[in-house]
Amino acid sequence: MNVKLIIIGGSAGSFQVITKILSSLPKDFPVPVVLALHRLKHVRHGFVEALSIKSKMSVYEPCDKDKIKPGKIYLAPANYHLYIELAGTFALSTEEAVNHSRPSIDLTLMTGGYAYKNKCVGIILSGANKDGALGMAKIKEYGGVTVAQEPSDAQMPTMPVAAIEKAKNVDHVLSSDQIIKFLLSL
Amino acid sequence: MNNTLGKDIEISISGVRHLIDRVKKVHGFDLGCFALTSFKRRLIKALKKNELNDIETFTDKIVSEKLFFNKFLNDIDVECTEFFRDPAFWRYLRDEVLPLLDKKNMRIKIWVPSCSSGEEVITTAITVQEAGLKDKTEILATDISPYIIQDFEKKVYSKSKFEISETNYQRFNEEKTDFSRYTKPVKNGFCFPDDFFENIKVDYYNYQDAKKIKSFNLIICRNIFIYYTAQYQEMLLNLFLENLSYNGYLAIGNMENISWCKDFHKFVEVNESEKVYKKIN
Repeated sequence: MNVKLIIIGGSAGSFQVITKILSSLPKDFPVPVVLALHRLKHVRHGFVEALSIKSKMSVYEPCDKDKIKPGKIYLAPANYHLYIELAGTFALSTEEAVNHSRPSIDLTLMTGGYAYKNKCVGIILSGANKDGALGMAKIKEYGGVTVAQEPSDAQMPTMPVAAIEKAKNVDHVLSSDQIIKFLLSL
Repeated sequence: MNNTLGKDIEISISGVRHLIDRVKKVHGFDLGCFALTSFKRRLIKALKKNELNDIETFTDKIVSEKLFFNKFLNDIDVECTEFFRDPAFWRYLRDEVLPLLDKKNMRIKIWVPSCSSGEEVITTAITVQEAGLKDKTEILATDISPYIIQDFEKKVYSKSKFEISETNYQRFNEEKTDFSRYTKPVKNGFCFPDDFFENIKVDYYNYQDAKKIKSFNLIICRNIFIYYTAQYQEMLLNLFLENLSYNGYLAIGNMENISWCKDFHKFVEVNESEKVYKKIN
């Protein structure tokens, strides 16, 4: 499988899983990883630093129009939606929150799925709301691969459960350890 | 027609391109200046609002009815969702930029382009007032949508917007005063009293005409560049340069990037995290 983009959506209870994933990916991991995580809108600094502690790859908050490059982890900045453009670049937006969220996990997944089609992997981790479910369904529709964290393995199962229901044929339902194995096999 | 979020309308890139071409020919307005993904989203929103579900019918209406085209410009405008977004920026403006402008100028001229639903310009007005410079300052707010210009001073903002803005305002003011001291409660939300707009002039302005207005001391254009293509961003920056006085300031959104633009060297960065630049050339 020739994956060119991985998008991980997470909310409450996902931080530990994410740091575990980031600490397991090698420095030369060939696929760019985009993190769409719910976060406090007025706290602009500190999150990248917190994720960087364990990550072997560098973590960035992309600016508008930045090119998506392999070997990097991208974190959706506070209080913006993060879109992925057909040209393989990021675009930011301050349009209204979707399901009370900005960044909206749905919007990053949907636009990434549209731009990267069958070369996109979407992963939904722990969370106490249903953001990401629609985006997962869209990734599936565009031919990409969908992965949900095993609900019993998630601190807050609502988000992966919603994704599994909405995307119907989620390709893989995996524990956090299995998600890491899956990513390393790409 | 009932469009739930799950059953979204899909529009093709070729449909969008076709719309752009026809609008350019008929109305002379280049919609190709907009960044594609967010423009497509706003198109879909406008389609839903007009209870249409295909882009061809929509395009026909836009090119054949001038009034509909004007409404369309209104529909694709991006609404700013809060007052005092990024309180640290407004504090910097109040404590650093405005006092400097006060020292060096008889009058302070501020331009808020793409004022949309007014949040940024109203926030600017409050900040100027709290810096004690209301009488000395002229604010020009412009937008491409003629409808927004008309409704601006009568606009009612939602209650939910008040809550977000109140929190922001408290972070800005830092003195436990309330945002409500400026607002007037009305049915379904709040608005601002008439005398609030004394030093604000609202006008229609299309970037594509690239007309020079006058030399501004400060241009507040935060989170506007993101809605345009890279090529158009370059053009916008030139336009702002032309309309800034020597030592004038430009403020953009904290995640926007203009450092790659050809004319960027004509600015010096004065605040890295709030993205404020000073024209030096």
